[in-house]
Amino acid sequence: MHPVNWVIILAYLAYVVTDGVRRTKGTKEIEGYFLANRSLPWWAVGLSVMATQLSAVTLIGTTGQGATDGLRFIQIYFGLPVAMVILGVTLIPLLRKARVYTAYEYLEQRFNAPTRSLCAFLFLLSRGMSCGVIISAPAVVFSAIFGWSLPWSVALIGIPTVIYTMIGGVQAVTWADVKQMVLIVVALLAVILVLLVRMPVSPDEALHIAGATGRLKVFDFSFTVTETYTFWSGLIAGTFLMLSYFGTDQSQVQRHLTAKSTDAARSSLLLSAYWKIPLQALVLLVGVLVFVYYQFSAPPLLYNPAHENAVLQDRAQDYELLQDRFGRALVLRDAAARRTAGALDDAAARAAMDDFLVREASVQEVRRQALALAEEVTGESPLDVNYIMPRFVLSELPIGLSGLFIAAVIAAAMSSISSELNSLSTATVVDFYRRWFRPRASDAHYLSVAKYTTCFWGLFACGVATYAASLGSLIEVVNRYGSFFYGSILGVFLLAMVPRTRGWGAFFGLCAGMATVAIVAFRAPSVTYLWYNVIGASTVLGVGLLLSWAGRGLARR
Amino acid sequence: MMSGRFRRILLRVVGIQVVALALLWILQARYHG
Repeated sequence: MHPVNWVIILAYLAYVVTDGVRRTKGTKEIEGYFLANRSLPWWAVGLSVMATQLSAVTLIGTTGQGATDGLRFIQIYFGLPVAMVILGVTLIPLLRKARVYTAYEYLEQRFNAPTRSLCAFLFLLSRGMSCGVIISAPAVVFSAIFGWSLPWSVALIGIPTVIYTMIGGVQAVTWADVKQMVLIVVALLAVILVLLVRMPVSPDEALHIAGATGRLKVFDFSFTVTETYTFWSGLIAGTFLMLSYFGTDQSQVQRHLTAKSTDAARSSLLLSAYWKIPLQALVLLVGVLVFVYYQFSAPPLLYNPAHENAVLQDRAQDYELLQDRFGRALVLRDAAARRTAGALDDAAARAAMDDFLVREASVQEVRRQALALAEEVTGESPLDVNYIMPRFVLSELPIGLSGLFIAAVIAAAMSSISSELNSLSTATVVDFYRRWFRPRASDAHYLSVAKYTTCFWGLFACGVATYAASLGSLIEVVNRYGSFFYGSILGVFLLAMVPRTRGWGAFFGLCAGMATVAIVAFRAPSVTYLWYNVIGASTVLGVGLLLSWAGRGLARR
Repeated sequence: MMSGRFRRILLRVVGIQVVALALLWILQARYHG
């Protein structure tokens, strides 16, 4: 990579750390450290909410998904605006009124300590692991692209984040999120501009080519619980997922608890309601345009350079044969794409489009064979969706802009990690240490414990990220397990809003919800994970209401 | 329960979503297939 790109990346890292470290004003007490004394403006909190949700996976994985699969992924977000509005009138005022540090603290006020501790424990378990995965995803890609060792890539992303999160607390996290969000959007817009300028066809023609390959199909109205990307899965199950994530996950709840008023907290969530779908469409559109760009400019046969090198070392002759076939198929596809773009009437356009689709299929066939070869040689999954965008950025973008985009990927990773570390530390200190071990210590004591726990969770996440490959199956189990209880925790909060429901009803309802989702996951694996949230929440609500009603009956007797 | 400001923002959210979905629909109708 050009030195100018390195200067941009290093300048970004130096700025984000020094700016975060400077933001220690008002963090002498735990309310300042964890909640910024509930004083932040709605727009800063709103951008922090968006930055927390948008991770490096969005910038490198979702763009790759746009390039290979098109826009249909966006349907998963159709429930988000609905969820934000529901949260704005239900949970937000409830949590703000309770003046809690964590969402789980409210569960003890409403139900009992075991329900609070179980929910907080489940949060720590899943977020601790997922934080590692969030670091690992871009770190693995950076390792393959730049040839760095994995621990070095993990350290580059993880260590600066731990430093500013540990020293500056939630204020550093929020204000860094704001700047990171701006950097991400600027980088995305700049990439779109470059793509539009450099493509040899007009935007309208580019969209026709993308549309011909099905990449502009957004809506799928089929109603099935086995498909994730459909309108109804997104709208119904997606609403439950977003309610769980934004309303009960401490990494998001802590963002809106820092807002200076209930109205400010609502407005901060509504910022996502406004902009999440357009932003996600923009991210996917970048991927779609990269796909069109590569119709006129030769893409690599394998996007993952580590796999490419391994195959070249082991099976050079086979790979060169494939590359020859790939080159010929690309020339034919390029000509077909240009004919499609330049067709003068509908009949000619239709004929050219049909020819283009045949040529595209033969390009994809060669790629499939190359991926199979990579799998044979490396023994690893050959999927290289996550490498499409980084390869494009490094080989096709002008000097400076590739550095800006890599800095944006690091920023996207940091903005999610910092919020998660901050919330993991808060839940550890407030829901466990202060609740069960030292209930009456000074603020200074809790503050120092909070800094140590932030550091601990940061190192834990870096450890998980470094060993992610060898922990593969364990992480999968934890992620799968995570989706088992996400909806169930939402069910507990829904139950809390029903008058006269009881603590043990909530606790056993939570256990029943998780068990039901586990049964569905193992007995009906074709049901998509989005629907686990609906199943979990409904079971908790049903069992919780039943047990509360039975409990009241017994008490009366 | 809901302030006037929140109600106005709520209306805007619904409006923007309708516009966003309509744009996506037009994109699909014009270019897909």
